[in-house]
Amino acid sequence: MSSPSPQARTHAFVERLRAGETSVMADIYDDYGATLFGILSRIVRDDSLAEDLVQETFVRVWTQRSTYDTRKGTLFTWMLNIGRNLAIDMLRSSAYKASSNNQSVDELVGIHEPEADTAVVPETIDVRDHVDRLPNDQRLIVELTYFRGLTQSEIADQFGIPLGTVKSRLRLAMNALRAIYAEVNS
Amino acid sequence: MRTLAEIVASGDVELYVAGALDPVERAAFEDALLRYPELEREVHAVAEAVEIAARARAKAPRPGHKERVMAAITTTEQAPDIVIDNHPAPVLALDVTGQRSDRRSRVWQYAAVASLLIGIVTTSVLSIMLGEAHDELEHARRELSIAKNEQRVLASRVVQYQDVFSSVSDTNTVRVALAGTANAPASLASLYWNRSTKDVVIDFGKMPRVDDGQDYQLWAIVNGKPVDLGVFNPDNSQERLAIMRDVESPSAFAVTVEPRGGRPEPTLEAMVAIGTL
Repeated sequence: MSSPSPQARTHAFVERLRAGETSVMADIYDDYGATLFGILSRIVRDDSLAEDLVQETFVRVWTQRSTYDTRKGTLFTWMLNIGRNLAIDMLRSSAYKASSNNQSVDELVGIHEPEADTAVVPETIDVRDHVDRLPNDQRLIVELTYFRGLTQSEIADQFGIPLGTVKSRLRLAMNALRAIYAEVNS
Repeated sequence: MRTLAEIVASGDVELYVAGALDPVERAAFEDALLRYPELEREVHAVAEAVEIAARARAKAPRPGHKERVMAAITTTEQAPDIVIDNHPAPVLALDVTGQRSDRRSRVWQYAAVASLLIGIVTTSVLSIMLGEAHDELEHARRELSIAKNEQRVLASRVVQYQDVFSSVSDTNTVRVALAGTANAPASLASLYWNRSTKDVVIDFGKMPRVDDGQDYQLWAIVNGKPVDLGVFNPDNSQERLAIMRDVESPSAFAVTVEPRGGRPEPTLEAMVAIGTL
């Protein structure tokens, strides 16, 4: 039996969030917790810290649930943006930098191969294979934009390309990814 | 004003989903979202692709994490919160039909209208003030959360350094200089081994970085055979000191470059530093 689409899952969760049903957070955790943790732990490179950030993200999702607008993306992408911003704020904080031997944020969130440091949850292997079908530069631009939270100009600097090219390259990558998923699902 | 096709072709949808548009671009995009219902479908299609790609990065947190998250949510739920009432003030029906048009009733009508206006203005001002207070509270919560995380990081590093310091400063500890081999003459590390506790600490602050996908691996030579003491990496650990595995009666220590995570046996041709006791 295939699992419901992200949109169907979002819809079911949002109904329960709007009804103020606290138990929905446990179900959202079951569905998205490991994914969010995997992404945040790759940003901060510290599992304990990533667990705290996931916790804070879930608390915010609950307290700010009335501000979520379904038109603006799936519940997961909303959560991802909250969590990733928390992680970036954390890395940019002066005390964290001081405690990390003055390592710069650029180094902390810099380019490295996406799959190199992933501790894999077995069910994700199929999906990872699909992502791996993207050419390297497209895979990296998806990684840096969505999972590392780099700005357009930071990405332009990393790749040594003009700002406008970042947008077009990202669009190309996402179109390719959508085509791969469509092909797999058909 | 851009057409739907122009907006989609621009790549703004992808950046919007990433939360990467600047405030002006985001406001323009959200205006367009209201104008073009098809744009919402495009946003969801991109968001779904991101969600599927994100799942490839899933990694299980430690057991008990879910319970901690739920406890934090429950605690938040029990805390008092500011509720902003954005409902419009109730509108009173005034009898303005002229049936009681004497001066006295008109005065009362004016008084009622005036008090209603004052009420509306007061409610609006209070609502704005409460809105600002709410924003400030959110900001303070965010700052507090960041400060708590910073405090945790610093506290754990202090404990770690205390362990290292007590181990290194112990009178039973000997220092072994690991000099670079012909493979890597620039390599230099200091190793501390405690004869009593058998603790091993390595200072790798002067070791060059290794390539992606590689780690340094420390070996002790015990009875002529290499014993794995673990891996370290100047890039990943963000530290210059590492506590390695304990070892009994080593005669020498060596460092090799190995694939990430290390290997059960050393790659001798990849030895970069060595030192004897």
